[in-house]
Amino acid sequence: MSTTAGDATGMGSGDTTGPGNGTEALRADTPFERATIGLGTSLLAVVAALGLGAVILAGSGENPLTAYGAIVVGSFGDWFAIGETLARAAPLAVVGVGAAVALRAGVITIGAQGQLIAGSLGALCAGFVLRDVPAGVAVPLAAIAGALFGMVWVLIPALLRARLNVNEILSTLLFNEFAFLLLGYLLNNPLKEPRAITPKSEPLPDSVVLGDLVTSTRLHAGVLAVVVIVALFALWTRSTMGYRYDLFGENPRLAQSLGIPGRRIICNSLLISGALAGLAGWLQAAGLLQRLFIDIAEEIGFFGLVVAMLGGARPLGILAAALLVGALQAGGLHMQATEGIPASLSDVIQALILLGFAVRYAPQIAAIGRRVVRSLTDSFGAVAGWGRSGTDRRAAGGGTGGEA
Amino acid sequence: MGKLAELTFWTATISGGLRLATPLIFASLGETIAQRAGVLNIGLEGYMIIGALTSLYVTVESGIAVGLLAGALSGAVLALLMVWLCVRLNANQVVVGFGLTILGVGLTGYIFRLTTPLGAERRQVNILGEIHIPGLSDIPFLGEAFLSNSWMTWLAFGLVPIVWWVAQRTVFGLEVRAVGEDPDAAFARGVDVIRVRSLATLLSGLLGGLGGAAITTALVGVFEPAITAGRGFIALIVIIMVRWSAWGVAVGSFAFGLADALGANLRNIVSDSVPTEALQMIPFFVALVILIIGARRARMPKSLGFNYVPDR
Repeated sequence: MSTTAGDATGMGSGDTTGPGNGTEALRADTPFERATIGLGTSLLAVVAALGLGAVILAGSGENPLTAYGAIVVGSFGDWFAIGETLARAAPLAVVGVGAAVALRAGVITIGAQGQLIAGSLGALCAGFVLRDVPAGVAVPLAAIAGALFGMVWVLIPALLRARLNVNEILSTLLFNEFAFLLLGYLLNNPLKEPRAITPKSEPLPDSVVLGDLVTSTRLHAGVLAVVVIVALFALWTRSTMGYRYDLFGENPRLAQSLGIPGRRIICNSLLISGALAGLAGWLQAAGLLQRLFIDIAEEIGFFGLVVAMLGGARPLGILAAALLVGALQAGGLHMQATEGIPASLSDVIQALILLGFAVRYAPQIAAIGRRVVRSLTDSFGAVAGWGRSGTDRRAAGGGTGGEA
Repeated sequence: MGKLAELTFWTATISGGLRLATPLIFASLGETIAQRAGVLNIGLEGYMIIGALTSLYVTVESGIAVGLLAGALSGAVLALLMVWLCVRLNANQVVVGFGLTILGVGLTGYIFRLTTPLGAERRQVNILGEIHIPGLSDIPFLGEAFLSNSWMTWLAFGLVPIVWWVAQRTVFGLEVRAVGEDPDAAFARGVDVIRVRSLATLLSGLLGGLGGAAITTALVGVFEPAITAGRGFIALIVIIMVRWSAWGVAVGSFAFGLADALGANLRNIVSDSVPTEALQMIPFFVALVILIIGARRARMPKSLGFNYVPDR
């Protein structure tokens, strides 16, 4: 019962928590317990983060109720607000799915920012080529171009990681800088719209632009693609291939001894995450903004990773986390515009939620959660006649005695 | 292009490189200690940016000495979170580190915007001037390039042998290396693994905060959101390159600072023929090459990134 698994991630292997993906399985005896502990601790983390946020607000002389009220109005107050929330959640979920595929394989990438920029450039290039092609053909081709560009942008870090063991966190981070500077160059020179004062490209041709779903909102048709991607990810997590990736992430040595090719998994998971980040770039360029701006990536790449971590690298979790983060960001901007409270507060709250989620998987906290759920299910079970039977409880009690 | 052959270009680049290396040295030295103890601080960027804001704001009110101290302490406060969540509660080090970076950037952005509404004047300090050492600073080229630094730079390089000495010649240093290599064995020898890791993490917070303070007080003189510009991550690269060695940190930080200064100074000369963005890429390109070379020889502390869960 001690430390330092020799493997690369150490996730899910008993008491050891290593630099894996932070989605170490909550050890629980039944699916019901797992779900209750998971949901309960998630809500607790969100509530605690909002509470700390309120302390920060009050400490800086702002009224927390006013601030949170503005966030709620700005994220769900009317159709426009809901549209903003969904339009922000969409690329976050797509990047999150990509990050989750990598996380499950024990690979951490913070390069989505750069891959997203590359993907938006891909969508723009496709737009220039497909100017006169019918939208039914041009739109999917632009999406594919976005994904391909994103994939190309992660190719070098992926190969470096797989062949030379170059740390992917740091190399993808450097490629973010390259992408940002490249975009800056392109928008100031060849792609610059004539007469524009701030660097921005010409509008994307109509053939590749995604239409609005609801009039007078910025909710575009690309949001539908998100549903498809999350559904595909749900299939992936249940597929044999996905299982191989999970196995490699949880125990690389076991995976290797079963003949699962580690290098290829590392490389492919980075490429998949790059393609999805590129798709998010396509969503931004062809859907939301319909032009390229220097800050087209905002901080979607980073918060996409946050979404993947918050969502436990699972499909529904990612959807929920993307909605939460999208709402906080849309609401935060509304709060800044109407109440003059800086939108950075949203980032603070998101960081606090992430920290809360990180602790949630800590053995001590999980043990407390198990005890609470167990006592609840036992007392309910005694009353309603469901839950664990007496013998099961004794067995479970014997099992937990050693670890508590 | 003829200016490249001029001596003044190179004295400016070298002294600029030393200046730009200063925050990196502080941050990487602290991170070296923490990583030697087995704790990976991805949140170094967060420690730095909170140190940058705090030191500037306190310096405006109470002077540079208190400002630097406050900057270092603010970094340590974030590191305290790292200690509590990871070293004590065994949360995942990468996730928490990532969270601390976002927290640091978000919190400083919030405070900055709140205290600096649009149009309001930014808080500003005079950056630390160069110290003129009679005799030495007057040596042609060498004196101007290498020996005319602010005392913050001297302090940074002065810390290098101290950290080396602590790591290699003291009991604490031995304990740090032991808990980073094999915490079980260290525990069996009576070392309080949790305590040593906590102290090492706090040290990285202090020095990270000081590194951030160096940016605002010695380099720029003002704060703006995201002013650390990824230097916390660059420090992580430097450490891999120099294989967790204190002396190496000085060399690696200087190499990166030099690339940074070279890019900036070349901009004044060749901006007509080369896009500025390409010149801005130079330091990151150097970092990438360094990262690739470093990875081939990397021999990291064996338990780096793994929490220690004692027998219960």
